[in-house]
Amino acid sequence: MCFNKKKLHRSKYAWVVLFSLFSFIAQAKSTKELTVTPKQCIALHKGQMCYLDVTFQWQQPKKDNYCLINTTTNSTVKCWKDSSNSTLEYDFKAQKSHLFALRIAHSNRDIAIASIPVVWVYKSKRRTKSSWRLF
Amino acid sequence: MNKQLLIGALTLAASALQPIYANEISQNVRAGISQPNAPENYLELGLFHAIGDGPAQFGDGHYSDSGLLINGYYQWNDFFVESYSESGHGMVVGYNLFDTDQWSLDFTTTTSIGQFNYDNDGRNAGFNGTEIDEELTVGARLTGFIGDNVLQFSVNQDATGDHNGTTLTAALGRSWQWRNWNFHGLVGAEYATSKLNDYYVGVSPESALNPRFTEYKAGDSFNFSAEAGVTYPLTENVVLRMTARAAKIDDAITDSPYFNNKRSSALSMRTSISYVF
Repeated sequence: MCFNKKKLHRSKYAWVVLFSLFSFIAQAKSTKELTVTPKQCIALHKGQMCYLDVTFQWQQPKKDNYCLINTTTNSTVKCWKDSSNSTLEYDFKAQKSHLFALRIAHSNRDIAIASIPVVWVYKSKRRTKSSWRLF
Repeated sequence: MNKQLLIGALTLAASALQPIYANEISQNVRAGISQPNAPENYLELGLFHAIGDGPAQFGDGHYSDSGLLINGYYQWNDFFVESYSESGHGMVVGYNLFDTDQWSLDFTTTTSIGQFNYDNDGRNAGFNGTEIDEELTVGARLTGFIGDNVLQFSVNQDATGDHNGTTLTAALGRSWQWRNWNFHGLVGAEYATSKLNDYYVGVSPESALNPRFTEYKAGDSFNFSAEAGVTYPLTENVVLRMTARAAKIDDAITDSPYFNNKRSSALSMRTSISYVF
């Protein structure tokens, strides 16, 4: 009986430790998260320019100088000085999907990444001399 | 009989609203002619609602219509089958004779399968007991891509032997993109032979025995029309379309004794939402 009580206590501690560990991991993950909404840009035809007003949100555990980088074009979208979180309204305009990353200023290490996929209703191919037809 | 006449009148009135150049140029410009892209094989199902005003036998000519639409395109080598509810045809089966960067020539056979009365060519279901499913034409269409414009000429000849009528059409279209909205505009003209018009709106000596109608022989006609529309992707699979049309209808058609309201202009608006597979 005593053995069983000890075993029960040990089991409880194990659950508490596990729960704390998962909470820590989850929190660590969320603080590093870079999110973008809406999730995708929808154009009518493949190859068209796609337009989307998006909102980037990011959060970090400590203040620093951070930059949001469009890694597809390798261009800086915006940098923040001495910040640990921010929100950015952004007018996305592209013909293909783009990847974005949050980096500490002047570093090349991606802390968090997010993507804006460009999708089309009508998948099409480039017109070729022999087979292309609009309709 | 009256009901048949009413349906015929409404159909003709409604049909007069459809773009006489309709064919497939409306698809061309919706496909974004300024860009070298073409929808490939696809199928879409949807719902539409249309309202309009035009010449009619009874009432003020106003009509409203809703229904299911089926659009699709399938190409195998140089053969193709297409159905597009916004066009004036039903199903088109064709063969591409040549295709260059600027010009494309198709041989086409056109049936009325899947055709909608507001989209027909103005003479489909008529006052003379003609039925929409009797239509079968053979013809050709030449499509040119000139800068941002699409130019299309087509000829269609009756293949049933019912009237041996012929139509010649010319249309010019263009599209513009603003954000993810795809706007388009079309203008067109159609010439139809008297054989065709007379088959649908003429009053034969036999029909003129009905004291309500006098004998009428329809002549050749020139119709003109314009269309503006917008297409917007709601999701990756759902498309919204809105189209407004105006048409000038030749007196050779509206002078028919079958018409009580002989207005020579017609307007229509159509909205549809469809799922693209």
